[in-house]
Amino acid sequence: MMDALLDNALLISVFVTMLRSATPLLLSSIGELAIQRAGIWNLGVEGTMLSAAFAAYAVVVATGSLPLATVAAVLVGALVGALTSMLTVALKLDQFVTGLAINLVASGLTLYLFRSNHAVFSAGNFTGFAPVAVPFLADIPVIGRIFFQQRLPTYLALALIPLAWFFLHRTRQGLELRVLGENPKVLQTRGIAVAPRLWLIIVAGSGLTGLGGAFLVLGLSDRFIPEITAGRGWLVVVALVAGNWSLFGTITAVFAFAALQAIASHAQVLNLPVPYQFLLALPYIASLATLMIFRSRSGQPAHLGLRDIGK
Amino acid sequence: MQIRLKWKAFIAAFLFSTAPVTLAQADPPKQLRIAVIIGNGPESAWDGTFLEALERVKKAKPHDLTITTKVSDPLWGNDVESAMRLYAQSGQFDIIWGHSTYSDQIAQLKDEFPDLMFVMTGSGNAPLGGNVYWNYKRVHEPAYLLGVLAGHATTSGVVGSVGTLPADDVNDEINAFFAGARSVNPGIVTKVAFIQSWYDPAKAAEYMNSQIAAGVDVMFSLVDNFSPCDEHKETVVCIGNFRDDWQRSPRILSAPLALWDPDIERLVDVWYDHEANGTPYAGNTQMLWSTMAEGGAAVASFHGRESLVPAKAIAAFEAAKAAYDAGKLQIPLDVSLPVSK
Repeated sequence: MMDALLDNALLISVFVTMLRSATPLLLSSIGELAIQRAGIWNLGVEGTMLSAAFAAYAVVVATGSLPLATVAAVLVGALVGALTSMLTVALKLDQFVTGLAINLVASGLTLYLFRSNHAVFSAGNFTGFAPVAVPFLADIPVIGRIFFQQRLPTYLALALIPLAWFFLHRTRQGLELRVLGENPKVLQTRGIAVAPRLWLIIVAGSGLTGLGGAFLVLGLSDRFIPEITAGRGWLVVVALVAGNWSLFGTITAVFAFAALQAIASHAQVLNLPVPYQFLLALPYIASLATLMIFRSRSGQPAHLGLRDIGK
Repeated sequence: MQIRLKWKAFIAAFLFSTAPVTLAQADPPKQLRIAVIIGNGPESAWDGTFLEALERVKKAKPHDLTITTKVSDPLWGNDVESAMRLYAQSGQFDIIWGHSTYSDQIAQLKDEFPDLMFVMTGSGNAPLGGNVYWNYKRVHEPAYLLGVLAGHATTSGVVGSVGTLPADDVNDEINAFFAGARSVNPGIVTKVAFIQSWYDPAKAAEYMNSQIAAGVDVMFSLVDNFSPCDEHKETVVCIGNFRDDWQRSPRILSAPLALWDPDIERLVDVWYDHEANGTPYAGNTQMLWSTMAEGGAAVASFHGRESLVPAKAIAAFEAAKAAYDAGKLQIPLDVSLPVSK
């Protein structure tokens, strides 16, 4: 049985699946990490991904254009981010309640828009992101198949990891972002406006979250269905907490979830002597276990979720 | 005086004797009003195929009835009972059709509204009898015939199926598909996986891709996502499920179709008989479904895509179909949990 799992083609498939499953989580978690490191406890990730996924589907069905659909998803994600900014930064509403409300509105609104245009959408076909082989690199045995025959958003997600690290830890703007999450008054005393920076971070981060949502439709599916995100937005939030709000911790958590999903999807094929329901539950069990293990090592930004944001 | 009494007795006897006749000859119903509660939405194959069939039956006007329908938004849990109660109390409906696993909710209402006919569908329901009818939908017969096709069509010798949840009326068609394939290719390897969700296209794609990596080249997909079929268009042929999704992908050859028309017509007949002839409701407590021979299921058209598979696969399918139509092929029902072999 294990021989079959270790079979070259299947083993490669596990890693390919892991990277593909991780893509929407990676994009969304990097966007969300920026927002939370700036001190905003944004729980509206699920709703942001869902809204963007719907926008991507509506635009790709209407226009047939993959680039337009991708841009629309990012814009809608950013729009949800602007709404979040207005509620949490301008109006200083409770961030938890705001996030939950955004999820509920996104769920209801996308359902309404989808159902009220059912005749159009049910017949909507489109061509999504296809795997793109990187010249030369794709021909490398094993590694080439795993890393260099992926879809464009997967390459983007992987490239964003070092870029995000560089931005957060090697630029002035990244430093300001982190200070926002620890003590925004430090910036204010230096005459640096807090609110515009928060708006920009939330809008940009939500746009990236929207790209993650778009990938669920444009990269992995041939249709949109209500609640297509299926809890992935919440998994992103868990990844941040489990990753102790560090970039590499979060990325590690995302890859751990994706790896467990990839194993679960292959386990039934091989009829492994483990109840497949257990394997399906593993990512969520792992997230709970991680939260418990790292409960006392919180790297949570000191000002995260507080309403006293400043101006 | 005696004569007057006799006349009175005669008139009374006449009226008494004709009264039942008068009742029995009441005008037959002209209108049937159905309240429908669905669990998912018209985009789902389960609900979508039913709603389409309902429209066909309305146009067909069985018993010359004008059928009107009110379809609710997808509901679940306690909301279902509330909605059903509102429909029942309104007095504006004759049948309340709960198109999902709603026996818990209907059990709370059926005795309170004994003149209403309730319908529930699919697995997971408990039989209630009386004014509650339990309609099943099985498409295992067309799935078996397409399995025969798959058994000849596979070049790798591996066929697969990705299902939603391992329910009784999901297992039946996967088992039948594999049984059909084994009937013509006993050495065939079968792969099966459940995504444990009615709808999660992204997860479905990964489960299908995993099977393709394991060598599956004929895929029976019950999970409403055919993008992996397109991605592996050089090697994989896909079979859809419940509805004809052929426009979703050029790699979809056919599908077992769910046709609810005979089920709806049968239950309309029951209601009509109750209304017109006073026949008491006697809801079934055993699973009841319309077979393929009765028009409850079918095989979707190949839409000119026969060339996706070898000619011998089409020929074997046609032969099995002819045997079924002639009553020479009995397709077994197996609802056990399918596993990869």
